[in-house]
Amino acid sequence: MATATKSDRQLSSIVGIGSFNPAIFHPIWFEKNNLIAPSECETADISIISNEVSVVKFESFLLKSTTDRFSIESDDIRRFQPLCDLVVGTFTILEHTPVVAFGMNNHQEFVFDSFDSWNNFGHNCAPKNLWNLSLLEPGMRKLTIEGRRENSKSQRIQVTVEPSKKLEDNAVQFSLNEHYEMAQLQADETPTALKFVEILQDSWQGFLNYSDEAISSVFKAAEVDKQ
Amino acid sequence: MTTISATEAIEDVRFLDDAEAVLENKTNPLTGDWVLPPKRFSGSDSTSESFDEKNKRSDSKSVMAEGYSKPLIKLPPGTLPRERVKVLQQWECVVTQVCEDSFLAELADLTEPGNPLELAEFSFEEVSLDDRKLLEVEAVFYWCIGYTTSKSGQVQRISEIRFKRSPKWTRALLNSIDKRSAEMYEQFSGDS
Repeated sequence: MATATKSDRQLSSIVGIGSFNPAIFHPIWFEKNNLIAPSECETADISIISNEVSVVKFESFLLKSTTDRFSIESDDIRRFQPLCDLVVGTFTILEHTPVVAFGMNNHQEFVFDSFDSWNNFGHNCAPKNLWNLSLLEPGMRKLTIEGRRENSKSQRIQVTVEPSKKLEDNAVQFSLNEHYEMAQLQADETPTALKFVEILQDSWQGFLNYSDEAISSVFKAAEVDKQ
Repeated sequence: MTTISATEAIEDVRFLDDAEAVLENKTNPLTGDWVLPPKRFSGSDSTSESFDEKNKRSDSKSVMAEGYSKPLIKLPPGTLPRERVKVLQQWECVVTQVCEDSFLAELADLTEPGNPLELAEFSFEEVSLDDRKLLEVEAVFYWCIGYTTSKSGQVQRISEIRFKRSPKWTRALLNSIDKRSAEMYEQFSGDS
């Protein structure tokens, strides 16, 4: 049986679409509001903070914001739950921020034990019988499947599989995006930021657990031993 | 046919494309700093305003490289830390008792959520100086054990405690919660 070993490379992020004030996302603001430790404020690397765009690299997180998009990500699995706490804390304070939509993302990479195993997995995901007549040497470049997650309030979840961009040969990457539209979730006058925070708190750990389970089930169906 | 989700994570270059700031890999030959080309920067009304006009009215203080009239934006050399971490197990914990030089906590397994709650004792020495101020009964922290691999390949076993941080309770925040509670009380009272 083919084997796919999980790489250390894993990334999670929370992305918000709405109306933001990038200038506020200064490390000092986070520290003054008890959202990060003083040492994390001191070691933060500010690429830019302005009215239009902010990019700040903290020890554990990378924050990027424009006036209509906010994202925060981490590639340290120890920080995935604190990542959620940071976003929850931020938008609890900034409760009047209009949030139109938000998404949770998880990215994992796996290395197969051989080229043939890797190739066979791609073929399982995207059988080539539809393409052999029109293409020479067809190969799966990227596959996205959309659906919904049980017991989730999200509008959709997309799972994307493709050869890894960063790792060596015989590697694949899975990217999961769970998307929420606030207009379809708002039932009262609660500020959208607070609704966003509420859903995020309830769903984040479940989404991370689901990401592992979904990938495991794909490997199981493809008869690949996931390690 | 699916479309790319607007809330997908994207890499730096595409992020800046979406922000209408096409930042090419250009450096000032004099200082080596990054320099913005004379193109439109971000903003919802960017179709009606050129970069130069927007730059003039911007309140941000920019460092101007000699011979260049555009602000400098420096991207970090890498987007994320290089150290690799392999987590063996992770718990979300609640402090139940604080002793002289240690504390007790109840542990909920995040790695295997079906596992029962456990109890453990931790030394103050295991808590960072920044986090010790947060140590009190009912405080929440995350505990993880695993291995880290440095850039040079050195592997180390780790046991890390990190306290959860919540925003300070400001008067405005408390008032907002009170107001929201009152609204919900009225809503539920009205339904009964």
